[in-house]
Amino acid sequence: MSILTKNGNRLEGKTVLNKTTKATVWTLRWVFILALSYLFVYPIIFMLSTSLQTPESVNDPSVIMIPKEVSLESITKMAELLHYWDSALLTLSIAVFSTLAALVSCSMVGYGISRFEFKGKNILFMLVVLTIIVPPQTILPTMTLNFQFFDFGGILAPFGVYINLVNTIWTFVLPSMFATGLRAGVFIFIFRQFFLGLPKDLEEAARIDGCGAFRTYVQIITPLTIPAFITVMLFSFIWHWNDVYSSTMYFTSDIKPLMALLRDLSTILERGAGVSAYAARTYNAAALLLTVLPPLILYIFTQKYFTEGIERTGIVG
Amino acid sequence: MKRSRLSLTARQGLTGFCFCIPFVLGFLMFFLKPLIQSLIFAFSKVSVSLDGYSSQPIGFENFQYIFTKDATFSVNLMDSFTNLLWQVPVIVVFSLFFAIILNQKFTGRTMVRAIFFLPVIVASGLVMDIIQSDAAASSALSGSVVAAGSTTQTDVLREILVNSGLSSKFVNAITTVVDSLFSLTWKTGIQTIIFLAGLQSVPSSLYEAAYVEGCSGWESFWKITLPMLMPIMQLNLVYSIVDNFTDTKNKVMVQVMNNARLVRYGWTSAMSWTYFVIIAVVLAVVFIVFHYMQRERKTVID
Repeated sequence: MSILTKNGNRLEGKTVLNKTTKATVWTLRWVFILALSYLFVYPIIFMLSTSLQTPESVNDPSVIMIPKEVSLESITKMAELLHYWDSALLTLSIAVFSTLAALVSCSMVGYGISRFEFKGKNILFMLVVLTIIVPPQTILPTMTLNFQFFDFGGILAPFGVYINLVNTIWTFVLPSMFATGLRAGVFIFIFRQFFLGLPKDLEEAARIDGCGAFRTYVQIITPLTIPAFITVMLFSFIWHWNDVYSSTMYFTSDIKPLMALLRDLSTILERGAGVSAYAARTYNAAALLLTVLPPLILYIFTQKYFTEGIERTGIVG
Repeated sequence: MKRSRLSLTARQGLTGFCFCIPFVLGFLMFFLKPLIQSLIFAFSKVSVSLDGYSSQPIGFENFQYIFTKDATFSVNLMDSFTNLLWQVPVIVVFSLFFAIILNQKFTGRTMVRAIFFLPVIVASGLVMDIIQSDAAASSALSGSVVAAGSTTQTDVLREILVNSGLSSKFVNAITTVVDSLFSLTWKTGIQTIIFLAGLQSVPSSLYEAAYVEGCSGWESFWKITLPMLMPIMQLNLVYSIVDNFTDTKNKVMVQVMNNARLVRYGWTSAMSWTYFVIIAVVLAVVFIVFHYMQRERKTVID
């Protein structure tokens, strides 16, 4: 500012004004931030507090947020009703294996689409975008049917043989292996954007040194784009864990992914006997807590990668 | 060693395609096949038995059923469409606002960001539904108005507005919006992230130049930030529209999934295809509008 105005008084006036505006901006910003933070944190605290109350005290109007006596009763009961350890292990294995599969397949496809020129490349990319836009519910019923009578895309059909994949984690892992799993289109997109940002010289140098395309991808490109891999890994894990639709369709037994169990929560509570409608609140909260806690813990430790890694994803191009 | 007869570019292209093979196979097996099947199912009677399934073509009977005989489908369809019309703009504006706040430099920014991205982690609609109904039950019980998303505040608002002589239809519209503000802010996670990434890709030299020319922050928002964010805006609109249409709370989706679980594949497919066509039309409108806006902007710059 001092460069632009030679008038000393005006300069002074400007700085004073700047100070007051700065203070106003600061206050306004923090008012907004605190109000919104409350909005985002409140449900989690509410859930925690409700689940720690006894089924009796949950309807005590004098209890606000802080339970009078902490009890794990509803949590242990809910863990039993949800077959928690089995279900959690199932959900975890779905999330982990699908994520690993998606990392390999989606990064390969992203690499192929971004670093090579070939006929139909743009059409291929359009198809990737198409898989993002078509709501999964359109194909879910037929997908379920396909998994019930799975024949590897028609290979087994002539023999009249099929495998029933329903109720197994293959319903998630198999599509992920072929880069068409849960939100795989988004992951391909993220990888593509990352790879586009790398200099072309990398591959040329590698080729001159006699390095094959696949080896270049594994040994040169992959280590350079670790942030992309971490971002996709975290998102894939969270999205697989939080998926409701596919889990409800693909799993019909008692042991289901946790989100599918949450969907049937009221039925489970009714069948689980001895749970009155009044006490249901603490049980509901306990079930939510059990479901949400694992990704929440993961988030606390990896929060840096979520908030910083994403900015570097270059989703924007 | 035999020399490859392909030219370098052709060989490169082949290698590139090899990298894409997983997707090509997956697309055929896990996307195109079920998609075409569900289109066929929409026009046929499907019967599933223990050793397979069969379908008989029946023309438009499924569509006739869902529109004329099913009591709730067309109502639900209309509902989710009108919801989309006002919810998506609200979500996009909110997330832009959040992203602008988070993009500023201030102490404690990392912490605040961590909190603002919580919805991405916990945000499945299902979890929020249960929390909200629990919170409403709790506040109804204790008479407190602390619970977010409870009916209590909006009841007060409704009373005030009706008493001030506004038409009840208008008041209802307002209270519905206020009522869902809580759940709408919880749907902003991903969009905020995308906007944030977009904001950081706007070159700072533009702001510096504007500042030197005496442009106020308010002006540079409308003249620099917003135009530069247009492609991101489009991305976010598309994401929000798809997200909104496939929300767990969306009545059409609930209906589709219930029918699917009851193995009524014909109706399910007919419903989801009707739905998909509507989404496609909405998305097409968004694309066309943005296409024209961009072209207009280009002519202005030229």
